[in-house]
Amino acid sequence: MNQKMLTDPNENVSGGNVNTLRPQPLGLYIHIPYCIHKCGYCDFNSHLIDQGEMGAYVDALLVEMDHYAQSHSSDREVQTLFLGGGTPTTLPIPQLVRILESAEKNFCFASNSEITFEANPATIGQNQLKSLRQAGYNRISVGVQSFNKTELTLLDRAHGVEEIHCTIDRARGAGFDNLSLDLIFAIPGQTLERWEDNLRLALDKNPQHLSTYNLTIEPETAFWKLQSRGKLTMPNEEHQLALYRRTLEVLESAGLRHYEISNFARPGRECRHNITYWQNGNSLGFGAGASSFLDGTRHKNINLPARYIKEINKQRTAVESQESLKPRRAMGESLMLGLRLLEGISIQQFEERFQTSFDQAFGDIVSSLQKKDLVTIEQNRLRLSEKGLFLADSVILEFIA
Amino acid sequence: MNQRRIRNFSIIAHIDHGKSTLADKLILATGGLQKREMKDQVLDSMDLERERGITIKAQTVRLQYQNDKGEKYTFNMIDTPGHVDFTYEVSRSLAACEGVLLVVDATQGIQAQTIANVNLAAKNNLAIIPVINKIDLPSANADSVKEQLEDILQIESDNAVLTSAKEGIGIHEVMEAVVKHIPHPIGDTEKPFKGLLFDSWYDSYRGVVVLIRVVEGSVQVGTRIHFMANSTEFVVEELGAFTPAPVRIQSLQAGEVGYLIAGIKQLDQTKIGDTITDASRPTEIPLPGYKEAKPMVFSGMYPITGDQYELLRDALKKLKLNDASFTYEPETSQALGFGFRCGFLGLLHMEIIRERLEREYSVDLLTTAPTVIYQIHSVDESTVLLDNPSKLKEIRNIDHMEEPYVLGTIIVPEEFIGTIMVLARERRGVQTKMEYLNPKTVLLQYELPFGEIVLDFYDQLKSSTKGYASFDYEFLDFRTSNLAKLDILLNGELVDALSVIVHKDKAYYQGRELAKKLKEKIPRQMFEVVIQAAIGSKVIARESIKALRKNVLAKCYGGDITRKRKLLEKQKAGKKKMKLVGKVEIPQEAFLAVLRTDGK
Repeated sequence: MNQKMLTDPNENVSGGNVNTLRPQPLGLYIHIPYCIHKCGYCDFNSHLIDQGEMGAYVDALLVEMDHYAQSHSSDREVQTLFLGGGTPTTLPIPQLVRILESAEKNFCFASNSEITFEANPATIGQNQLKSLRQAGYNRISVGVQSFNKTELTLLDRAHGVEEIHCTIDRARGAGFDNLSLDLIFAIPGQTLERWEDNLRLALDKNPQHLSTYNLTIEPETAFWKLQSRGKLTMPNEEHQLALYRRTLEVLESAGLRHYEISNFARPGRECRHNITYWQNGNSLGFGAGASSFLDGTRHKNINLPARYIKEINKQRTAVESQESLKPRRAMGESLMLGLRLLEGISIQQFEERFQTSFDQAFGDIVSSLQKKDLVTIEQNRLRLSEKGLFLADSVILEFIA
Repeated sequence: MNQRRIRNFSIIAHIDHGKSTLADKLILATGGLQKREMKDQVLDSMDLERERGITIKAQTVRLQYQNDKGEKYTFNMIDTPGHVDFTYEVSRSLAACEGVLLVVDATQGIQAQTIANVNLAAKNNLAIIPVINKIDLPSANADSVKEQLEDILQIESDNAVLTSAKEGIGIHEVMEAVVKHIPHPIGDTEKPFKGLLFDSWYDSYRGVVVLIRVVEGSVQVGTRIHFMANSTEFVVEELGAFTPAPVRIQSLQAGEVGYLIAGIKQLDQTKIGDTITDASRPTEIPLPGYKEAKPMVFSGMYPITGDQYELLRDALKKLKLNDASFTYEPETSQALGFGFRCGFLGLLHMEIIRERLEREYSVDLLTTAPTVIYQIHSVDESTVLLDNPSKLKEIRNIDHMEEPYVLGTIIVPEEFIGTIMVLARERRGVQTKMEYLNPKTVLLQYELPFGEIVLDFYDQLKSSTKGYASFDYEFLDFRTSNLAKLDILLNGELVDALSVIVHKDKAYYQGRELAKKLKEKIPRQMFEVVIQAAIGSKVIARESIKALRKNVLAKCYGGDITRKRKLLEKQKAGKKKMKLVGKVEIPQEAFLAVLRTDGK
């Protein structure tokens, strides 16, 4: 594995030690909760499109952004913006442009900032893509999920195979040189060969970034109900493991670097926005159900778009819950997130952030995990071993208070 | 007080026939408490009792009643526990009475405990007033209950009172019947003080509180009293009665019931059944007293983490202050470390102690499967009592082993006779009696090894008879049996805390079942876990729990973080409740797996 660091180890990403000379990095997330259709496996905060509501929703977003900008924009520099969903491209393009313009007006953006939007195949045309590129969006993440017709049907996706190719080609044509594709594996009935076909078809598109997600049946989803009625059977654990191993082989040999449990990228094209989450850095989330994390406090907005709009119109915020963790739990959370990255966590940064000795807090746990060959410590970084990668949750559990 | 105006009685009943509700209504009707002060079932004071709807500690209240003729009476109502584990407490309460109210559910008729209770009352020569309760229910059949009373229990049913305690029907009639049919006490007030100690408990403010029934003479505040069995002396500091609120009284006289406080510091300084007398003017002949309740069921109690050992020890010590019938002593298990071997009257008693330790003392506890006590006879004719299966290996030159037997009484609708016979045979029971109580109801008696009963017999009985069977048992004797120790090995290492004593004829079956159950109960680990059941060095069953190979969440982004962390924290809390034995994490349920091996 290529062990080039994702970030300069000297750069403070934690927000703990304030460097007054430099503005602090900040990620912005904007949630568009609308979809043309809810897929069977989806447990995101997504709702069917509602033309009557969507205009008011964008207005509310801008109000919320304005509110937080007043208190948080002055000493921070936005490094990344991520427009996710739902399906952001269910909104009219001018609205997407308007959201970005408003963000840039309210916050101070770094010159090389990463500005991503998610798009589902068949929801966007060539000219619209061009407009978004011109407006300043410089990264597109396409929700492909599968290049196989049977699998798309099983996943309950609203698009076909042709539409995937078409959307990706259009994005390239519109000037998006930073392209990410999402794929799902461990779909019932998926053989190793069929999954490898999917990976090859994805690689043919020369993506800068690939996310491959092991299908997970989440409570209350349509798939959950099917499974509990015996109408859907997940591949067994051995097969899921084989699919995951194959993913690593195929993608790494194609020159993509495995940098997070489910994410791969050409060197330098890792998703900087998501890395902010895994490094437990500061981010502001706008929109229904969005989460923010600022200086140790996390808050989450109301999920339901209609209620979100109502609250914003009333008081400019729509926070549903908020938490500030005590140090021991916060440490557990930082490790939970940081160990998802293949480069692991910097022990030095951890100690600076929590003003504590890592060895004193976790030395026993680490040495027991080292003996089991589940983690390694090299160059003062704690990382999952290859064996530990497949058992990440069990390893992380050890660090949880 | 004029003894002719005193009535001392208990209420006895099969579980759920309405004893506590009737007691509550009697307290209400006599003005012992105003309605707004009444919590349901006031006599069941502990939370646990209220939750489980059963009475554990007997309590006593003094009530004032004015009858239809305008005469004033004092009722001493002595509550009794309603579970087979606590039969001995029933018998000690009855020793303080002249009569009982026998409550029978009009919809269910006579049940196993009804019979056991009536036998106890008859042994004490008590007057019995049948109270046929729940007559408001559509399926009530008072006439059929009356027939059963006469035919099966030889109790005159003419005096039976029909009630619905819940609806307050017949309460007045019950009180009139108490006056009319229960004899008043007849103790000689001039004789030296002679009192029966029938209950005691520890109060953290007052020390030991003793309940007494004065049989002869009287006792005053300031009297120097002598406990005859223990040969200890104390000076009476306070006398009184519970109405249910405690009310101080200067003296208690022959025929009266009340409490006594005398600066007694430890519960074991008072022996239930002891005779109390005046130290300066002692009675000559003590009361017969009764047999002490001995623990019948044993299990190991271990803290999940070693640092809670002291906490557990202190908690056990405090519980013991309030419950003389439970025992504990330190023991060490290779698998579980330092803990205690505890003795209980029965399974319910064990459950109650366990819950109190966790709830009131916040000890994270691991309990091993219950076992009965075995007598091990060696060739040199010495006998050892075995209360922990894993200790069998320490006993040399074993000639033979004996296990305790009980006489089990089961009452069921006749369509379940076959079911009961199969169940009893599986449990090595021998039928000694079968009698139709009426054309639809049968009484069956079996001599059963007690060890078979502690392993989930009651639950099996209930589930295989749709809840209709009622069950009670009494201890018979120890009998020679062909017994063996069944061991469990995890990854080749013996886990002593999982050893059980089984009958050799059933050893293979139980070994296989136990291994299977353990496979279900032990979660997957990051390595393979091999479960073996063995007798001596012979492995008789093998199961394996495959290693966890993949456990990784695909996604974790901004919005997932809190949820994901909480999920892990919850998992961690569950993991902390597991005991690490060697390298294997074992949950509590696994240690009780043997309880479920007969489950179909």
